[in-house]
Amino acid sequence: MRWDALLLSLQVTVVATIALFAVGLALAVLLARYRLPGQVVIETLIFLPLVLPPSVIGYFLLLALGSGSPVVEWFHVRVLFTWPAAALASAVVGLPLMVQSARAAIANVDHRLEDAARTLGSSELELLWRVTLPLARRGIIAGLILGAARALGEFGATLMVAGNIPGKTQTLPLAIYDAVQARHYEQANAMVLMMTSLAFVGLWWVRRLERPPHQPHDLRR
Amino acid sequence: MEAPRLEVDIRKRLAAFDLTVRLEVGTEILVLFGPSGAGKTQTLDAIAGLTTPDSGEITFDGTTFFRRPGNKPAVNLAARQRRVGYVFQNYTLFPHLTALDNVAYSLWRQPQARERALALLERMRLAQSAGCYPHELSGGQQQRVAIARALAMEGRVLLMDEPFSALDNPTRKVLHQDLLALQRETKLVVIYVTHNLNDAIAVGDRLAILREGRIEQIGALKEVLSLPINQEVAEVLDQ
Repeated sequence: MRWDALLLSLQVTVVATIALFAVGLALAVLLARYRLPGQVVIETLIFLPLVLPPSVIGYFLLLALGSGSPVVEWFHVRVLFTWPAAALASAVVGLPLMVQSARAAIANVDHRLEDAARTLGSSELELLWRVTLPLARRGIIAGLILGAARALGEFGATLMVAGNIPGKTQTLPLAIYDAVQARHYEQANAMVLMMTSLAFVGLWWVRRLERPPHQPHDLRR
Repeated sequence: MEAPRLEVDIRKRLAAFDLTVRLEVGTEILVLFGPSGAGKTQTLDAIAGLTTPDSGEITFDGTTFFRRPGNKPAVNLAARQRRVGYVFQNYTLFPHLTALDNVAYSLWRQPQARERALALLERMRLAQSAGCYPHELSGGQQQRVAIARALAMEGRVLLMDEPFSALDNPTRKVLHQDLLALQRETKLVVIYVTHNLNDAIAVGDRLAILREGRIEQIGALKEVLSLPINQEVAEVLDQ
């Protein structure tokens, strides 16, 4: 087992998940509650990473983060071939899963409950915080777990923007690839088992969240 | 002090017809009666600020809730600023909050919110259920929590949309008595929407007949029941 690769993978995943939560939740709220100009275009852009080859995502990220890009020229932020670039690549591929699940959950909250909150003195922001998000929490958490699991497994785009530098940017999926190439099968087996276990726990958790503990509606007794 | 009055005079284009409602309510229970799809809920939503009429005016006790157009500036007060209590059809309690937290929802910034909410639940004979979640309560209990929640803001207007239609007859009768006692005690301005004539007779001081978005007749309950002014009103009452 390559513990440095596992730790780096966890570090990348945690940072990517925090970004997923902030950006993904904001996008989910906007898409679920408002008709935005160019909404279909925005949605398509968010969902593109689901279908694009990782190399294409990696290429776009190279353009966005490489020399000559606004990020480098205006803000002097150089992240290529560092672990934050791996976190960014992971967040981009996890974003569609988070947005999809959270948006559906927010849109499914009974509008009459939100109306009730309005008549009880709540502003739109307050009712979002006190009614909509708590009622949509299962879908939001499920989306976050799916996004995090996808981020943990990210390979292609990470390879292109962060490289494969052992101890520095080599995450677990990249370490597995290297181990197989070098025919270190014992090492590969341990890492494959670890990845599979983490993914299994994540998906099992999502399944549990999709099965509500009780049915709060239709209670005409 | 003059008794407060709610004055509504609104027009709104709907898919099937134009809603044209003009009514005045004092400290009494006005029953808004009519078949499904007559525009009853739309009328309550407009008064509460949940939907915006195309034109007209809504005022309560000197405060303009809505006005457009006119020679004075247009007004459309947000629902949260109107302090109009609204009891919805099908309970509509927050399923993630206990009965007590539902009632305390509008009080969270105020001191002694929990004590005040508990006092309201006690008034509704529900103090023992304060810690229960909505799905643990019967239909009648849920609707009593909803009434307590609407009263917590201490507004003076209470809108009720088919509040007891999902309940059995004995529970209904008890809740009708509760409502009548409450209205007499607190001098609320109540609009009670129903399509059930027995409900209307049980609680109404006055009766307004709504049909395809228009008030066909409005008057004292007995007067409207005994003397429908036209064939349409007679048919609505017959159904």
